[in-house]
Formats: sequence, C-alpha cells, structure tokens
Amino acid sequence: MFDWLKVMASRIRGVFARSELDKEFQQELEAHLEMLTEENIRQGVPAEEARRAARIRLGGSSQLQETHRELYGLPWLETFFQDVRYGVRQLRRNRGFTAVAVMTLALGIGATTAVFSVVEGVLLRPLPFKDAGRLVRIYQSNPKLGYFRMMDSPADVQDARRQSTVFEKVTFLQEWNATLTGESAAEQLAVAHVDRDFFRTLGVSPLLGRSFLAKEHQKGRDHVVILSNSFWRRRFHFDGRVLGKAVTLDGKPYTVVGVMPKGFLSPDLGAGSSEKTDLWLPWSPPTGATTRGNRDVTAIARLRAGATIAQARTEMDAISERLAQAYSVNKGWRFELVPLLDSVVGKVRLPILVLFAGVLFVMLIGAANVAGLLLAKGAARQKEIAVRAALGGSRLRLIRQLLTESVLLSLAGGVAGVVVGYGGIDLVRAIGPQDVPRLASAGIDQPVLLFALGISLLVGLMFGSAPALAVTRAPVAAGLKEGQREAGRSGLRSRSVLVVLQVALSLVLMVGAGLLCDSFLRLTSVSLGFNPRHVLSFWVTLSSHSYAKASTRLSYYQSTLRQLRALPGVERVGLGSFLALSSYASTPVRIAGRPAPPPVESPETDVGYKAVAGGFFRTLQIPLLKGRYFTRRDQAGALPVVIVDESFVARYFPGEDPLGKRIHVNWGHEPAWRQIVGVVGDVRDLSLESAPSPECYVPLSQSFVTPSVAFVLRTRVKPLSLASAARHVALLVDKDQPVSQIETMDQLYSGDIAQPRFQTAVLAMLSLLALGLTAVGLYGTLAYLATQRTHEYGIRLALGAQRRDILGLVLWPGLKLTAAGVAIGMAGALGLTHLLSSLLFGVRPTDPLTFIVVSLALIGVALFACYIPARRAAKVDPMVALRYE
Amino acid sequence: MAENKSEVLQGTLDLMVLKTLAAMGPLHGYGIARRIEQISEEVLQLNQGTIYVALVRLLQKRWISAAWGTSENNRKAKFYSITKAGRKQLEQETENWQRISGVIGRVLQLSERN
Repeated sequence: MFDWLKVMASRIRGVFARSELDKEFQQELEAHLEMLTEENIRQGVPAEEARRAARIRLGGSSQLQETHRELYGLPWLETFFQDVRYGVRQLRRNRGFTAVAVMTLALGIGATTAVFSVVEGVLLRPLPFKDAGRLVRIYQSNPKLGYFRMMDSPADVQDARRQSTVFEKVTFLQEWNATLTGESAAEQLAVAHVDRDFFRTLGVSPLLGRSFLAKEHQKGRDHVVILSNSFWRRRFHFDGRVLGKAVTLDGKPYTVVGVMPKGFLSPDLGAGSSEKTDLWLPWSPPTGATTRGNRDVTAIARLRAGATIAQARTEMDAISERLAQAYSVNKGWRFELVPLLDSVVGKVRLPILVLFAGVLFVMLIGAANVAGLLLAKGAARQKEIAVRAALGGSRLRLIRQLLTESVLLSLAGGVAGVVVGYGGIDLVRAIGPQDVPRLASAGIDQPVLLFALGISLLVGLMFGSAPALAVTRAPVAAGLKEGQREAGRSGLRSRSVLVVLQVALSLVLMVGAGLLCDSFLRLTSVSLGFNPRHVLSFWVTLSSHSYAKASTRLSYYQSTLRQLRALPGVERVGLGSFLALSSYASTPVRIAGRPAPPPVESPETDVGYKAVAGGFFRTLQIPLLKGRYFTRRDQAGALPVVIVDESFVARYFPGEDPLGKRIHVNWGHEPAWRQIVGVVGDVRDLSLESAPSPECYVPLSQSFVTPSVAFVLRTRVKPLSLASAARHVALLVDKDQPVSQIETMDQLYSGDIAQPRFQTAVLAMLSLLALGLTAVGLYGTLAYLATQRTHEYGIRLALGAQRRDILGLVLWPGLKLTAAGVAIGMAGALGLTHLLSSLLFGVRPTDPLTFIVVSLALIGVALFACYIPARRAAKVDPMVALRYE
Repeated sequence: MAENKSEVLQGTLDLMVLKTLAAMGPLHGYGIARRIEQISEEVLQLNQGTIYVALVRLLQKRWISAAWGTSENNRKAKFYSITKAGRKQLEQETENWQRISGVIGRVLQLSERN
C-alpha cells in the first residue's frame, strides 16, 4: 500500500548518503567480480581471460553504477541542484553583474511588495467581521436633486427591514459626540448610538459582559454603555470589574454593560485611522414626531446566505418605490447598496491601484535592464553554450540551465526585496496620508510573502526567457566558429524589443505623473478665500445639560473669546459654527419678493450657513467686498442682519446691489428674515476640489447659539505654541466643557492636500526612476550595438566615412527605438489615463500639453543616452577598430 | 514494446529473487545469480548485474534486508535475506503467478483445438 512512500524515503536517504552508497555498491560489485572470476578459473578458463569473461557476464559496471544511483536518488531534483550549483558559480564569477542585477531587482520587487502589502492590507483583506463578504452598506441617493450616497433616515431603514427578504439582519448606527466628565478634565468622545442587532449583524460579541437588550432601545432605559477596548484600557486599565460601573456622559450616568474585543471598530469609523468609536450606546427613537426626512444614520445589512447583492438591489428598488409613493419626503430617493468593504475603502482604491501600477511598471523596466545585461552576458557565453550543445545538451536542457540562473538571480533580488519592502511600508506609513483606512494593519504577512515569492519567480522567468531563447537559438556550428556575432544579432533583436517596452512603460508612467503634477499645482494654487497662516483653531462642545439656555452658551463664548484675546501672542480671535475646509451646513433660502422654492433640499437651492462671533472675518482674513462686517450692535433684538459671499450674489443677485436686500434663512428658532449688510469673498468650505457654493453668515448673538463652535486665533507667534494656553483658558472658563481638535489651519490645509500630494510625489518619483532606468537600458543597448559593430565602423572609416556618419549610425537606431517606444507609450497612455480622471483636478486626462511635454522630455533624455555611445564609436581609431575582434 | 517486455521480466526476476531467498536463506548477489541460473538449468543466462537492480528495488520496498558478512571463501560480501513483508509478498505473487500462468495455459490449449 505505502510501498511508494518507502521507496521515496529510501530515495531521499540516498540523496544524502550518496558517496557511501556508491562506495558500498562498488565493493559489492567487486566482490561479485572476484567470485565470478574464481568460478571461471575453477572451470579452466585462463586467469587473464577469466577476469574479462566475468566483467562481460556482470555487465558494464559504470552503467550499473549509474542505474544504482538513479534508484537511490531523485534524478530530476539532482539535475536541478546541479543547475543551481552551476548557476551560483556563474553568478559568483560575475560579481559586478550579480550585484547590479540583484540590486535593481531588489528595489523593484521591494517597492512592489511594499505597495502590494498596502493593496492586501487595505483593499483585499476582509473586514474584521464574521462573514464580512455578506455585509452591505445601505445608502440613500436622490440623483435628481444631486444627492449621492447619503446617510439614511431611521424610519426608512426600519421599513426596509420589515419589507425585505434578502437580508438576514438590517441595522444602523448614528455617530455622535459625547462629553465625558469625572475626576479628570472633561474629554470629548466619539460615540455611536446603535440600533438593535448591531453587534449580531456584524457577528462580533463583546469580550466582557453583553450587548444591548431589546428593552434598552427605549427612552429612559437606554442609559447603558459598551466600551471600546482602547477606552477600557485608557480609562479603566483593563479592569475586569468594570461591568456595572457608571460613566458620566453629558452630565448623565450610564452603566457599563460590556467591553468590545480589541480591533473592533464601527464599520464607518473604521475608515479613519484617527477617529475611533470610544463608546457604543443603544439607539432609541427620538421623542416627538418622526422626521423621515432626517437622514442621519449609517445603515448596514447582512445578506442571507446565498443571496446576491443584485437580488438585494432589485428588492430594495421596489421598496424605495413603495416608500416614495407613500411619503412625499421620499420622492426621488432610493436605496443604494454597496458592499461594506467597498464603502470603507472605495475612496482610496484608485490611488492605491495607481501606485501599484506605478511600482509594477518600474519593476518591469528594471527587470528589462537585467534582461539586457543577461543578453549581453549570454552573447559572451555563446561559445560555452555551443560546446555544451555539441556535447549533447538538448536545447531544453540548456534553456533550463539558463532559466535556473535567472530565477536564482530574481530570488536573490526577491529576498533582498522583502527587506526593502519592510522599510518601504514604514515609509508609506510615515509619509502617506493619515486618513487611509486600515493602513496601520498593512504589513509583510503570509500573503505578501507569497506574492513576493511569486513575483520573483515570475520576473526571473520573464527576464530570463528572452536571453535563454536568444542564446540557444544560434546554430551550434556558427556558435563554435564565430559565436559572438551570431548570438549578437539575435540578442540585439531581443534587446531592442526590451528597450521599446521600457520607453513605452516610462512614457505611460510619466504622463500619469505629469497629469497628477499638473492637477496638484492647480489644486495648491486654488485660492482658499482666507489666510490659513498663523491661525490656531479648536472646537468646544457645550453640554446640553448645563448649557440648555442660549444666553448661558453666549456668555460662555463671550468670556472665552475675551480671555483668549488677552493671551500674549494672540492678535485676533473669533468663532464660527463651522470651519472652512472641515465642516459645513446648508439650509434652504428665500429671497424677499420672490416665490418660495419647492420644499425639498438640494444643493441647487440650499446655501451654506455659518453663525460667527468675535472677529471671525478679520481673524481668517476673509476680505470684505462691499458693505460692512458685523459689529457689536448686531445683537439679539437689533435688526437681524446677514453677510453673504460672492457666489451667493452671483446666484441670487446677478447685476444687482445685494446690500439692503432681505433674505430668509432658517436654522433652529431664529429670526427668519434678515437684511444683507455686507458681501465677503468666497471660501472653500469642504475641500479644495469642491467649487465654492453660496454661503451666508449670521451673527452668533442673533442665532439660536449652537452648542458646538470652532474658535479661531490669529497669532503673532507659532500658532501651535499657544495650543496648551488656549486649552487652559477654555478649561478655566468651565472645566467640564471639553476642548477638541486643536490644530492649525495650516494643518487642516495640508491634511486636505495630503493625499494628492502623496500620490503626486510618489508617482513623480517613480517616473523619474523609470526614466533613469530606461536611459540606462537605452545606453546599454546602443553601447552594445556599437561594440558589436566596431569592426564595421573601422572599415567604413578606413574607406573614407566621416565621423559624423558613424555618429549617425549609432544614434539613428537609438532614435528609432525611442520613437517606437514613444508611439506605443502614447497609445497606452491615451488608453489608460482616463482611469485617473477622478484623481485629476482641472486637467483633462488627455491633456495634450502634458503628453507633448512628457514625450519631448523622454526623447531628450533618450537622445542623451544614445549620444554617449555614439560619440565613443565615432572617436574610434580605424586601425584599432579593424583589429578588434 | 521493449519497455513492456522488460517490465514483465523485471517482475519475474523480482519474484525469482524473493523465492530464492525464501528457499535458501541469506545469500549474496553472486549466490542469488548462480542459484537462479542453476535452477533454470542454464536456460536463463542472466546479465548478472541486473540482479542488483532487482535487489535495490526489493530493498527499497523493504521486502528484503541486507547486511555485510563474510562469504564461504572469506570474502567480504553483502548478504540479502527475505523479510516478513517479503514472504507475504512472495505468497501473493506466487498465487498471482500461478493463476495467470494457469489462465495462459488454458488459453493456449484452446487455441490449439481450433
């Protein structure tokens, strides 16, 4: 039964006991021969004849020895080891070549491995939930009004849960902030109110305690809390007796009923590395009338086993239709399903894949250079190969030998590459944008190592096959006679193909980098509408408990502003309900004397809204274009006023004087009709990419006084040096009101451009690398060509050719190769750059200028790379050249 | 074709070696070769080296074992002896062989009558 196993074991033992077995067998045969000889002598055969007869009787001893060896060993494996040993010897003999090749490959494979670890860790790895592939995110969209992938209204989600059949569970969460008070300074926490089944939907149970009970999702019974692992560590130092203890949130006590395991994140917040949910609270329906139009929760569902997302989409479309007919606020809204993983990493997928393509290109270009080197080396080894072929080495066997060498080379490169990759990942983490989800968990793990191994083998076979085929193609006789030249021809053809490929890949990469650079420059030259230099900002959220009244909130703000202004180094202070580049709120608007807009929200009819106080405009240096800023007299009870921006005037009062016009903006319980007293410049509110939209500003004292504001300080000193002083001042006014997100506007701004900056910088770096490698490849090929034809140049010179002609003879093929590469690269780039369009800002993916500039740059570098060998060839002494062989 | 033939021969040789060792007790390669030639009354003229190939095959399947010893005329030689597994195998193979040779014999008789 297991005979083959026994045989295998014996064979494997044989591999290691080779010499001993050989010796024993030799002895055994010797004994046999002697016994046979004696027998022959006994039968009367003459002594000298007896030995010979015995030999014949036994059979060829070296043949027997060979068969014996084959039986006691693994022939194919031993040939392989033989190839490896020979390959290692070859590589060690050519140290310089090996070092250059391994280094090139190590950089290429290392960079690719590092980026692949990001691809794997961020894009491919399933989310840390049970059967995460069955989880979907439910959005609501209204394409007519221009709303895409918005959050959901709880009532709609509950209807969907009741009416759908494809989901096992449907749940949602609502993200919020809460203020933790207690013995130490107040802290602003990220909390999530979760609907029933939330933890079960994700398939994760608490580490300690329990998840919420059904009855806890009711007002009055909902004062229970589940802690995140990191909060448990931070506040309770992993105390196992935490269950049943109370924490004070927004002034009210909550009982701890559970602790989640390490690494559990709310799916949506899991997206950001910086923001993590600290606590989970049960969601309970708001008291009073249900407002179906309030879309403020994140809905998640688990598909039934076997159900597809397509089925779910069909069913949800039908449900959307029914809801739209039943409720007027649902008109035009429909559910949109996206796999949960896509919803988490969707935004970074393209940039990461672009980077991956970039490093793959560079690796291929580098590998092509190594292949070029191998080809040149192969030509030099032509004689050796021919001899081996003449002695009976089959072509397959020779190719196998040469491929073993190149795979050895690439594996060495791969091993070094993994080391490079380790560093590369740290580098990506250090200089990469901070808001890439799951970046922290990317690392060299098993799949990444497998990838590195696979790609090393692949690269080795790829760059090895061209030289192996070229070198073994030449007829044996020719190889023996004047091998160099024959092999040279065939090798040169392969090298030319490689160079064209390199030029083409470089061009694609450079065009991509060029487009990104262009759009990055445009992005950074976008006028922010304010001056972010020397501005510190921080947020304060007042507890609804101790600051229930607007007047108490206003007096807190005013005294904090006063104290901040008194800080040394502070030039101006102000505050706003929202802050440029980070947050935004919009509200419907009506213009006095014009018909009211339809009662639906949409970006086309809404305008941005900010309540401001102190010297908000002067602190941020938002320019006044007309009228006046707010003054102290614009207080509660005085004439309600409003300041609008340029876009507002352009939309509602084109060609009119807006000053004195009355508009109606409604936010909370505020005086509705306001008079326009000033016009200020546009400010980029959400991000640099989004065009400024109409916006209005109202005085905080004439508003309902939002409990959450951003303070801004223009400083004479480095803004961050005032961070702790500012925080101290705020806590001095009231120690229980937490201060959060202390940062400079510069930091906000660089956060906003971090991703484009990173992808542009990396792609630019990669394309420079590609250009350099291509130049080296081109140079190497032409230098090789020139060496091959030195003899010919000598004859030409001797026959009266000018040096200029020789220059042309070398330059011309180089230019032809470059032109071919540029043409192919152009076609490739035209086909590929449209994939970049969502990363571009203000540039079309087929921007002709970029294409032309990049091609010219590439041709220029190529010319230079060709010129060096050409000049050397032209300078050759005809006498030396003629003798050259 | 040639391979098929040698395979049959291989199997046969293996069987003969096993039987010889079972009948004679431990023997060295030369002894086995001589014994088979004698029993076949010199009909079978072995290329004696092939005995060793058969011996390695049997060794690898653990049907025989080997040990160094001294031959009748004081020479160092490797002695082979059949193992328990080898005897079992021999039994099976003998049975097989008899069945097959019986079948072949009957088939040959059949063809004579027609």
